[in-house]
Amino acid sequence: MKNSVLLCIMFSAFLLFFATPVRCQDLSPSTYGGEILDITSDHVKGEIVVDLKDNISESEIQELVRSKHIPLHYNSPFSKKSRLMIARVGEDNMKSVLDSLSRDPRVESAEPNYVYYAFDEHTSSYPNDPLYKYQWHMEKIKVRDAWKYTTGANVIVAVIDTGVAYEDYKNFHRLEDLSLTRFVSPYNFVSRGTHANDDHAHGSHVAGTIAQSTNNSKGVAGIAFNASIMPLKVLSSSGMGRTSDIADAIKYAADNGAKVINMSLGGPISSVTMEDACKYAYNKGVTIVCAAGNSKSENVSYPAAYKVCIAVSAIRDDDQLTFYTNRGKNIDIAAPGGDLNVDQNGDGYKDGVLQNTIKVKNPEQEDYLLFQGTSMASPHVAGVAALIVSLGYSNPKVVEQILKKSARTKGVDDLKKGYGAGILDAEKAVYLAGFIDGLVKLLCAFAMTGLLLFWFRGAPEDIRRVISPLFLSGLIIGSCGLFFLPSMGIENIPWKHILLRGFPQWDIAVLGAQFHGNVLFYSALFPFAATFLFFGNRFLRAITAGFATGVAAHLLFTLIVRPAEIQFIPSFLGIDRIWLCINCILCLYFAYMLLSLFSDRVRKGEEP
Amino acid sequence: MKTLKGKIEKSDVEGGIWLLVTDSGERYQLQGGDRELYIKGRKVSVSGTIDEEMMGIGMMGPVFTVKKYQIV
Repeated sequence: MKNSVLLCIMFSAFLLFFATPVRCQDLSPSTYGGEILDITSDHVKGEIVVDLKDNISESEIQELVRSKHIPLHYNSPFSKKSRLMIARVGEDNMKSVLDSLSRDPRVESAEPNYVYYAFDEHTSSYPNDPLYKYQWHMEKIKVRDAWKYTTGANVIVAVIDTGVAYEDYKNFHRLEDLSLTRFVSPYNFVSRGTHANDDHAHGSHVAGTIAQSTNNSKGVAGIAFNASIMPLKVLSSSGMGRTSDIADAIKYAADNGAKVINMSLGGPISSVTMEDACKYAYNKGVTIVCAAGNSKSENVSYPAAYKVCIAVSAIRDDDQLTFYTNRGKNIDIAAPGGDLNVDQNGDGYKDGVLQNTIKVKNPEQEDYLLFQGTSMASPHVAGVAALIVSLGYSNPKVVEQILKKSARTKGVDDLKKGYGAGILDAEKAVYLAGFIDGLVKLLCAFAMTGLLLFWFRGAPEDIRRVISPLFLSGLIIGSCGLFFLPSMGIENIPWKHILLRGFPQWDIAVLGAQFHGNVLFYSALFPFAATFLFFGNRFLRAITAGFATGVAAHLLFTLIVRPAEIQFIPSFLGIDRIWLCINCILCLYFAYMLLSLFSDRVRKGEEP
Repeated sequence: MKTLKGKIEKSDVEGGIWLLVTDSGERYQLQGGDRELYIKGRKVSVSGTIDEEMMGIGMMGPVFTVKKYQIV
């Protein structure tokens, strides 16, 4: 009785505390928009959107309705000012009415009322970038399946290259298909300054593969399109630069928050300064991805050949090594680099890697160019590395292992030839990252259960209760979900964002949040609500006890292994950590209370 | 100062890389010189230095900085 009163009071307090409205993190325009679809067939039947000239009067609108015999009404109360109207004309009359309206001087534009679908990262739908269909290299690495899990948010990728067309400055322009891409801490090591613009085309192309603005109805897609690019110019317009500048850029990237470095550059001669810089960045938790070189030799170029760097060889559409790529046993992984001598997929274009960049050595104009080279293969791996890092991995050694273990070996005839661990597979990589995560959460859950048992001082009947299937199922729901399903080869799992994840991470599926870290889900609120609602029922009580322990484990995991930004909770002075700590203890306390409700000691009115 | 004899070639990897392929088959990436030098198939004799400090997007051989050249 005493316990239930206490529960009521605490539940009311919790509700009051959370009475403030929940605001989901806004989805950036780059993640929402439309899906590729046959635009001619997918419109609201018989409806035309008519945009009239803004200065047209109401009487003129009436006159238009009378003269054309078309019923017009405003699309919404907000469209009155912009004179945006809808005409319902019937499917058969569409064409003639469209023609007639388009020619009328009072009409700015008239078009069918197209249906746009939100691009759902949780399904494998196509992005709406019109040239995506020519990016065979993106399909090759199964990037769409990886987007179901992450698009690279909160990761900085340094592109050490000829610069990036990221800003309007003097005769430089920001590329149209980098318009939504985020850029941080640019630096020009060639001319010393903060304007790291591209005067060659190479660096922008490379940056595009990593984080081209995606699903923005323009151009092409990039792999980790919600990551931020750090443009670092070390190569002049000739495509060459000094090792001392490259070494400086590597250190600068590591010191300024980059978690992944892409270096699509190299040379045949090693440099101690550069190797030291790579080691410095690696020890600071930076994953360094490098092109293996284009001399068709067994000698991988530097910096790719350094142990701390991931050397990437280039394949073409039929999975064969390209005619130019370096090969041999020092390759770590293979990725699409393109071959401009063939059109193996029959799309009418040579099989280069397609990205938006400036015209070669002409920063005033831009284009979508097909390039080939190990330089093009490297950013595919860097992009996927960014996806892995965005899931919370901070150790470059682990990131490299995930990339290699998830690489595809099927259809690769001889790994010794120069495929390294195999061909890059973005989908498997994020799956594997999720599996390791799940395993660690499960361990945390067992540790928490052990703590509970210790709290009960391990009376045999309590142990039996805790190890019941009901408790364990609750434990898995709260902590890690059925994370192991994809690794068992089970595909097409429905409700992935719920089934494969521990409860706090349901925030994305339930609230549509872009990042994990919703304050309600990363708290003891739901375990508490469940405790309050279900403490009267024996079976639900056991599940809820497990659930509360599981959430406690997940919060512990977030606290120790994988720090997340908790919404509304500031991180200074470690307030977010204190939050996680308190809520973790609360969850554990609820579990303890529920379990002790079973106990005879409580029924007899004794203290548990 | 080193002198190399060979043929000017352009590889179409990485958006275009100018090379000197020597008579013995070694490949050097060229920098320096002028437009007259960079003509595909041109047989030349170039003098200059191998720049060990240089790296680049080509990754097809050492960088050779041309000080002067002669069309053969």
